[in-house]
Amino acid sequence: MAGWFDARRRRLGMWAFVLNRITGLLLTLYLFVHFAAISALYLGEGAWDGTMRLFRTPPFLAFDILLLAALLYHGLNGIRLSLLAINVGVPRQKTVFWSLMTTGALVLAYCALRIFRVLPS
Amino acid sequence: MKDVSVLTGSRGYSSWAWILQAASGIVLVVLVTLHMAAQHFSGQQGILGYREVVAYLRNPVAFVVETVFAATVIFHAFAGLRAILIDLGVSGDAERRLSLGLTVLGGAMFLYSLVLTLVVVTR
Amino acid sequence: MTWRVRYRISRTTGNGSATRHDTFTVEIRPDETVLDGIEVIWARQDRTLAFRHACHHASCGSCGLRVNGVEKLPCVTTVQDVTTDGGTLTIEPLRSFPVLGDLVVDPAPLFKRMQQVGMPLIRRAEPFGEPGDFHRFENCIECGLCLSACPVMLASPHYLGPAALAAAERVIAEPREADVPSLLRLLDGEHGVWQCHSAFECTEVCPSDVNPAGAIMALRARLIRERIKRLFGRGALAAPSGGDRDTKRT
Repeated sequence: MAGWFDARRRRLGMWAFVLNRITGLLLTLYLFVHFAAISALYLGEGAWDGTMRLFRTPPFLAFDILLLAALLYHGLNGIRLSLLAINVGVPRQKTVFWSLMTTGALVLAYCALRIFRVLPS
Repeated sequence: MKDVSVLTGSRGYSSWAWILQAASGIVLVVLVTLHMAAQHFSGQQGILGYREVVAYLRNPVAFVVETVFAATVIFHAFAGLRAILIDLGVSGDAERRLSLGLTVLGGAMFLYSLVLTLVVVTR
Repeated sequence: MTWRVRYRISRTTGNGSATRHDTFTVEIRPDETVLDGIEVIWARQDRTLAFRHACHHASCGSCGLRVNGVEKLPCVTTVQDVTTDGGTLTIEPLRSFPVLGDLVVDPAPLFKRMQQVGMPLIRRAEPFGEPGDFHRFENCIECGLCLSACPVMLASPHYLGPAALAAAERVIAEPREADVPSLLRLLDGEHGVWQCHSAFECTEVCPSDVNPAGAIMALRARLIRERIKRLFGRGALAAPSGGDRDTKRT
């Protein structure tokens, strides 16, 4: 198993695969956490709004940005894998990867600025 | 290494597993974007208050979209978990038990989210 | 001008159950090959070192091994490609093959997989047919580097692997009486193309321009098209299976 996840000295495709797996597992873990968090809805307005006040504090907002980064990476790399599976862009798969990741980075930057109120809602 | 001449033959399901995983992923790109736009890019710092959430979910279109989103993301997450565990060597009866277990767990999560949503919008 | 290079070589003892690394120092020109260094070590320092080599120009595929963790043919890898003066080269056998001794692996798993997809041309009788019948130029030198580099092979020993899948793509492109529907079913099955995770390491390490990852993606696209056709009752996957699992070609 160690060799399976060992991307040292490997190239882009292997790193992309390992990161896809890691972000997938983290997002799955977050899914459980998210379900637990939204259970506050059941407890009513006071419980929900109190929980959301906590989630608006800087550490949680920073976590939201990390989460968004994982989501963007996993989703955009997933688009790349789907294109490869229909034999689109195979000879230029590295270029496709970097193009998608650049787009993701720009989206992430914009979202971070919105979340931390640098940009207006 | 084990004798690779003993292949289990084509069952076809594994191609569907991959295809459904990819298809659900593509659908999720759209649904996650809608979910983020509706739920996390409105409200104060991207987080909705209780009344805003309830008002949003009482919209029938939003209710359907969020329900489909929940089902799709649970499927995609659990199918991904299954794929990783199969890669780690789970096969045969163990794989069937794993698939059943993940289906039951995923179904339970989806039902929970549906019931929670219904309870909240019907209050 | 020579460099002083340390070779840290994997040694296997006791029926392959114990592995250690022995370090040798050689004086070698930077434009000489990694294999040249191994041969000098064998000739002058340790005659018990086991390794494979034959053509010395990347056409036989015999000498494949890992240099600093990356699969290479040492006969065409120069020392300056992989280290510097005073540096260390870690030399290990290929992964995902049984180690027979030191740097020598058993290539049988590769050849069995190639046979599964019907790649070998088997002469059934004398005389040959027309000379053109047996002219087929293949890039693949069956070196096994792609299997060693593939992360799926490490976790899933039954996976057909990049070499066989690339070979299958060529069999389908030029069937020569091979049973294509059976082969497509094999590729569509549990240990076929769908186990690939698109790491592309196979293509990265291939010394012979086979592009196994590209072949696997082409096969996936073909299988998706066949599945769509099968929904309408057409296509190769809709046809009943005929013949043995090992597709035989003449």
